[in-house]
Amino acid sequence: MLQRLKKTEDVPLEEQVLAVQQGDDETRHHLLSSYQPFIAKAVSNVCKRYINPEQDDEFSIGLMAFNDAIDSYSKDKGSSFLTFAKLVISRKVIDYIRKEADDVTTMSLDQSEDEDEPSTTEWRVSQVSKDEYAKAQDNWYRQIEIEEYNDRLKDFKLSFAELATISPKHEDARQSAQDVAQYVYQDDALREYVLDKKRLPIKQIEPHVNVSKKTIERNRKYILAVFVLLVEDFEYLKEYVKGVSE
Amino acid sequence: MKGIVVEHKKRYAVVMTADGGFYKTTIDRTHDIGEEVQFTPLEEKVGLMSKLRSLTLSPQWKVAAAIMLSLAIIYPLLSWTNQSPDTYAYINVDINPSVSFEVDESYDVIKAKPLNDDGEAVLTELGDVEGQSLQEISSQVITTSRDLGYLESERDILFGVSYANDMSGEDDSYLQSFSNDLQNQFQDEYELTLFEVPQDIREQAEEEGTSMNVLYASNQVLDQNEANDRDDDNRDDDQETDNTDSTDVSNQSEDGSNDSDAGTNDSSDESNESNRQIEQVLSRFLERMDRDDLPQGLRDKLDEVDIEDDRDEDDERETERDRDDHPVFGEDGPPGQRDDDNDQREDDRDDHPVFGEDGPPGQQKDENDDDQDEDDTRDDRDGEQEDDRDDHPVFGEDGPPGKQENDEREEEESDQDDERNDDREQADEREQREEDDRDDEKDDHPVFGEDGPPGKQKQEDSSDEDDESNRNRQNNDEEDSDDQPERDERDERNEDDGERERDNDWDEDDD
Repeated sequence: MLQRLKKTEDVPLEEQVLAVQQGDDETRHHLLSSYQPFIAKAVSNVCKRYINPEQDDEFSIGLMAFNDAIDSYSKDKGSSFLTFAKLVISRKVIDYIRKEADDVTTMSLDQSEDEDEPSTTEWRVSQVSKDEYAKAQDNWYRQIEIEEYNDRLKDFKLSFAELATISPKHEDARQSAQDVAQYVYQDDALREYVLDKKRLPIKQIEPHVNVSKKTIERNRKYILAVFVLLVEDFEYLKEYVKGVSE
Repeated sequence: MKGIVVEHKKRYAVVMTADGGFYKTTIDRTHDIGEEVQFTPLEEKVGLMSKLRSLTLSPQWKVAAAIMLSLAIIYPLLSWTNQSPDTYAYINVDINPSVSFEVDESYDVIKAKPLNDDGEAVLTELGDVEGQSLQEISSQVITTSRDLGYLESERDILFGVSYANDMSGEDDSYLQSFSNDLQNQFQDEYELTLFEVPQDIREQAEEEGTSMNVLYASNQVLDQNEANDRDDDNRDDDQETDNTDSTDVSNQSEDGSNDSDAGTNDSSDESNESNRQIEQVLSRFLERMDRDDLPQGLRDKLDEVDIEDDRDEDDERETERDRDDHPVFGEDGPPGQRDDDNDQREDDRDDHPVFGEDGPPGQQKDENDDDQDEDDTRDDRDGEQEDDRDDHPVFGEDGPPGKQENDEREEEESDQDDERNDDREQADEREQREEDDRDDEKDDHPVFGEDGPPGKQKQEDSSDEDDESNRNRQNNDEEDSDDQPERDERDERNEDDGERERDNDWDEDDD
């Protein structure tokens, strides 16, 4: 579906998005209408259920998120617009669901307040459950991002299981590999090359990093995996692996 | 350690730590993806399996494995079609031990394969033969066969050569020297026969799982038998067909081997001759062969022919026994061989009143210079014609002046039929008479004009008749039919000639 849509448009999606940012409202309407199936799918991915665009509130949240994504997309980040939009939609929908859930909690609290004396233990329990819930929300964000991360890794013919086998076990080795990934991510030309060819130009990288060619070659896959993590807009995942992204 | 679950697999889960490390661990499935968990990494077993896995994971090993695999698949296919990449030719050696060799372009053996149990014994005795020259191996095979007691004296040794690709016109000097050398080496003891086996026969032999020599031999012998068959039934009427048959056979077997020495005068003669020898050797070879070794179909076919031609075969065997002492290679054959090599049907011709015992040897050769490819029929007839002319009662050796013209025509028109021939002879006669007439006019009877004196006419007729009798005798050989109507026809034609002659004179007057 997406492929077909992309093909029917001569102009790349990213270019269209940039045009909308320049004030091309016609294209914005076109994008919003033609990407509704994509939005529905992204929303349904978060909610884990079928989303009916006519009825579900989540879908309109997703539509709004998609619109926001159009405005906030930056090509410099490297990731494709659809990946970016998907993450934005996921986050917004999660936010929405959490807010809805909070309202329910508040209501229940109100209800408990309706009772004569709310016990402190009860409050404490609810507070604990609230923390638990917030934690669960973070997990949820991350889960969405991890799924997306896994998809992106597949583009590079990588998998988590494989990474678990080949990722450097020693801290220093891991750090130096992450440095290489960081360097590739920072360099515009290298980033474009890797995103395009899905492989590391070891010869071009080697002179600029403090790592031997052999080490780069050995940790090639891990470097790519870290690179993908850096390139994509994995807000929550990156927050977890702070050491990597900074 | 702490990390977030990124993937659940059947036997383990993958966890990502805060410092960017990925680990395998065993955790409860109740932990969702994205959830932070406490875990202990699985110790990677550095066993054979993981090593194997890491091998299969690396791309260069994948490529190598792919190449090995495709080789493993393709190689049996190659050997199944018996077509190794650089096989240049296949040599089958049949003594009684039969061995098949594949050789490369420099005639070094690539592969040796026994074709029967004895062959296997010989090859075992020889050991590793690959890389040695065909020459060396062949003489070793022969001596080993002898040492092992397979080879009695004066046995035939057959070398069937089949090129992997179409090699017609290929340089066969190696094979020539090869055969010469072997010939010299074993001259006193054995007879060596070298022949080329067409590609399709080899392929057929491969399909049927038999020796290509056997198949080729049976094909040739069957052809020959058929030809003889027809020959016996209607030898005189069918001479032409017969000749065509034998040319077919020779064309089939000669192909590449003779093209190279087409330049020499007597190559076609000798190759025909060597073909006949080869046929004989082949038929002997087949007789010697244990019938059980032949493929069923072939055996039936041969049996069939045997029943039909019982008598013929006996005769053949007799004649063959006479010929047994002939050297086998055509190139080296002694000059006198020709007579013996002629088949029975040709023996008939030996009594020919015009050619005598030797047939038309010289002319045939001369004409072969130019008309290498023309069939025997034509050659023979031409020879007879020339003889005719040579013996011409009027012009003697030099023939009539117009003859040159005729010869040219002969060369131009290769597809002559009998009528044409007659025409030509008529033309000869015409010219001959013209001259006579002219003489008559000048010297004796100017009064009688073109027609000459009546007496003269008679004389001419009689000389014509000499000619005719020659021709008729010749016809007797070709066709056993009653020559009386023929003669009548000729008389009529002679009258026609008279008229044409006049026309001719008019033409000359115009000139």
